[in-house]
Amino acid sequence: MSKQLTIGLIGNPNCGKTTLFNGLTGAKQHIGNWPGVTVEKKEGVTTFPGGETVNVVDLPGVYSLTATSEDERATLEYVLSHEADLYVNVLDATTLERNLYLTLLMCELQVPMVVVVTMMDIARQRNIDIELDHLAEHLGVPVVGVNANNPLDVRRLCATIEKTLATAKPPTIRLDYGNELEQEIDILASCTVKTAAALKVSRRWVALKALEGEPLVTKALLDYHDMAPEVIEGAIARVTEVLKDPPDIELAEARYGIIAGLVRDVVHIRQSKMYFSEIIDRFVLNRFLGLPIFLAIMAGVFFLVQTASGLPTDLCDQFGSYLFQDLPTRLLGLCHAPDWLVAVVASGIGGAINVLFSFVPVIACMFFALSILEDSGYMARAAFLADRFMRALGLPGKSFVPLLVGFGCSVPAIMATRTLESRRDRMLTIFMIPFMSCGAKLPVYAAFAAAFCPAAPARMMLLLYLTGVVLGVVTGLALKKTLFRGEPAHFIMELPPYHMPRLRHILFHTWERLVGFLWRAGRFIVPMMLVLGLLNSFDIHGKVCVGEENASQTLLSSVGKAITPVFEPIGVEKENWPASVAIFTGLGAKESVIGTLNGLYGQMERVEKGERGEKGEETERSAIRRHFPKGFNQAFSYLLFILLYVPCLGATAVVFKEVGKGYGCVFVGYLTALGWSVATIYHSLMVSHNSVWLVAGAGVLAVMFGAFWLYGRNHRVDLK
Amino acid sequence: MTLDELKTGQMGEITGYTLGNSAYRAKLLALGLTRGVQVKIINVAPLGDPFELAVRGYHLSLRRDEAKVIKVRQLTKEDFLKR
Repeated sequence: MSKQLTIGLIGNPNCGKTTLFNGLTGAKQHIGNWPGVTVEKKEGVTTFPGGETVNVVDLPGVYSLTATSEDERATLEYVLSHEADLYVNVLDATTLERNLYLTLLMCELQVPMVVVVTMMDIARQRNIDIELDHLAEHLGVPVVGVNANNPLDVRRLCATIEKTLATAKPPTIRLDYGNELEQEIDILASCTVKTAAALKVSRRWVALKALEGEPLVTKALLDYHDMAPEVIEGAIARVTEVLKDPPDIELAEARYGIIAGLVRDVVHIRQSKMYFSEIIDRFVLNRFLGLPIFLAIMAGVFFLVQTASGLPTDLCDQFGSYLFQDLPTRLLGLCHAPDWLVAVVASGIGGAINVLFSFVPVIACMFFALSILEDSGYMARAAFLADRFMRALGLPGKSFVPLLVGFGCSVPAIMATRTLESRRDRMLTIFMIPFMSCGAKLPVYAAFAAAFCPAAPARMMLLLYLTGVVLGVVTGLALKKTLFRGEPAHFIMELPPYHMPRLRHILFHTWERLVGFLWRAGRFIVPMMLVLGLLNSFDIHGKVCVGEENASQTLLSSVGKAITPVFEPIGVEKENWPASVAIFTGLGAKESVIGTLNGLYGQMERVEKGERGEKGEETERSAIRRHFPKGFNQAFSYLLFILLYVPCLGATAVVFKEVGKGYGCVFVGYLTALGWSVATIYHSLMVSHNSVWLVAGAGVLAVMFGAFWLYGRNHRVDLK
Repeated sequence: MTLDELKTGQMGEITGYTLGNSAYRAKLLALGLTRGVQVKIINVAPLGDPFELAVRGYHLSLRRDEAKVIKVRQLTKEDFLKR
C-alpha cells in the first residue's frame, strides 16, 4: 500500500464516539489542535485483522454539518479536506432518530462510510429493538451494532471497515426534497461548478448548503465567483414564498420526515418505562432540593481543590526538591563539578522541573473529579442549574465549574474551559479565573494577615478573596463590552441520561490531561523557570551565589532593587526591595513570595545586627511589619498587587496555549496593569494621599479600557 | 403561543419559527425541533430559567427568552403521541 489510509469518526456529542476511538486505538493516540480553532484534535492508529494499520481521527461531536460553532467548523473543514478515505458514523442507539440526521447529511456527501450503532445494551434495557440489517438496506451502507467496551465488537467493526474500504462504495440512499425544493436545488446547482470542483463535492451538495445558508460554503461560493449573493437570496426568497417557510426549515423537516419513515420501519419500542435518569432528576433538579444539592456537590469540589492545591507545597514539593535539586547537587558534589554547573543543574533545570511537577497532584485530582461529574451526566445538570445566575455576569452556566476550580489552582481551571462551546465565553472565563485567589496565594495572605490583623486574620483574608471576586466580575462585564464584543452564545444543551462513571474512562481522561499539560505547558514553563532560577543563582559578575547568606547579591535581587521605584506608588519603599524581588519569584509559584520575603528580610536583619554587634532573630511577623511601616493599608495595597498581577508561569503557559500568543500577551499586560493601578489607587487614597499617583493609576485604567474598546469595536470575537 | 409559554408537564407541537437568528435556528432544526414534532416540558430550573424539554426521545434545555422564536400549539394528553 502506497499511502496509509485514514478513517474519520463522526457523530453527535456524547454518542460514545470517544469510547469507540479509545477501543480502536488503545494508547496509541496523539492529541493536537485543529487548525485555526482551539478544538482538540485526536488522532490514533489501529491495526486491522488483516494486519494493515490505518490512521483514526476523532472528529469533534456535532449534530449537523453547518458551521455555527468552532466544533462544527473544525468538523466541516475536515470533511471538506477529503483527508479521510472512509467515515465511521457513530450513532447512539437510545437516541437513534436525532443521530440519523447527521447520517443523512453524511450520505448526501457521497463519501464511503460505515454506520456504527453503540450502546446497544442500554437500548435493550430500555426495550428498544433495532433491526440493523434493515437499517443497512435503507441507507445503503454497512451497519454494525457494538458495545464499545467489548473488544470482540470492535474487531467485528474493523473487519467491516476493511471490507468497505476495499470497495469504497458511497451510500446508495437518495433524498428527495419534493418538486419545489428540487427545482431550486437544480437551478442553484447549475452555477456551482467552480466551488464544487474546488471543494471536490457534488454540485447538488453545494446547492443544498447554499439554500441552508451554511456560512462556510456560502463564503466559498462568493470567493470562487460562482454566484452573486443576490442569486442565493433570490432562491431562498422564492422557496419561502412558495412553501411559506425558509428552505433551511423545509430541508430539515424533509430529512426528519425521511428519518421518521426509517425509524418506523427499523426501531421497535416495546412499552416504554420510567427511566432511572428521570427519577434522579426529580431530586437533582427539584425546585427546592436542586440548589442545595448543587451547592453541596460544588462545596465538595471546592474542598477537594483546596486540599489538592495544598498537596504540592506539603508533600510533592519536598519530595520533588529532593529528587530534582538536592540529589543532583550531591551527585555533582561527589564528582567535584564546578559550582556554576551545580547551580545551573540544581537551581536552574532541577528547579524548573520541580515547579512543573508540583502541578501534577492538583491537575490529577481536579480532572479526576471533573471527569466523574462529566461522565455521570451531572455536569450538564450543574450548567442547567447555574445558568440563570451566571447569565447575570454574561456567562453561560457551564463556566461556573472552571471558575470554582480557580480557587484551587488556575491551571486545571483554565484547562477546564474547553467544555465551553463559544470562543468568546471561553476567553471571558479565562480572563476571570486569575481573580479567584488560588490555593498558592493563601499562605501569602495568611502571613500578612497574621502580621497586620492578628486579632482576626480571617477577616483580612476574606476581604482579599472578595476583592478578587468583585474585580473578576467587573473584569468580565467590562471586557464583554470592550475587548470581547460580539453576539452572546445561545444556550442549547442536551441533558444526557445519567450513568455510572466508568473508572477506566475517567483514569484515561485524567492521564490524557496530565500528559497534555506536561508536554505542552512544560515547553514554556521549563525555559522561563530556568531563566528565573539562573537569575537567582548568579550575581552581577557572573559568580555563583547560592544559599541564604548570598541572597541579596543575586542578579534577581539587583533587578528587584532596580525596579523598586516602579512599585513605590503601591507602597513598596526603597528599603523594602525584597518585596519587589518577591514579586518576581512569585511568578514561579505564588507561595514563594513569602519564602523570598522571609529569606531576604532575615538576611538584611543579620547584616544590620552584625554591624551593631547585636544578637537574636526577629520573627516573621515583626519583620514583615517593620518593612511595611505604615501598617495595614500599606500591606493591603501590596497584597492587592499580589492578588491581581500575572498568575504563576504554569497558569500563564496554559493561557497562552488556550488563547494564543496575541491574547496571551493582552492577558499578561491587562493583569499587571490592573494590579498596579488598583494597588496604586488604593495606596494613594489610604496611605500616601498622593493625588499625582491617584490620577496616574486611574489614567492607566482609562487608557487600557479605551484601547480595548477601540479594538473591540473593529474586531469581534466569534468563529472567524 | 411560543415554546417558553408551556408550563412544566404540558405538551405541545411545534408549528414553526418566528424569523430571527438563523444560527440558533439551524442548531434547533438539526436537533429535530422541526414542524409537527411533539415536545413535553419536563422541568424548570429552580431559578425559573432555563427549562428542560423532551423531544424525539431525548432531553434538551433551552433558555426562555431564546426559545421565544419557536411557535407551538398546546396539546392535550390525549392528542400527545396519538398522531
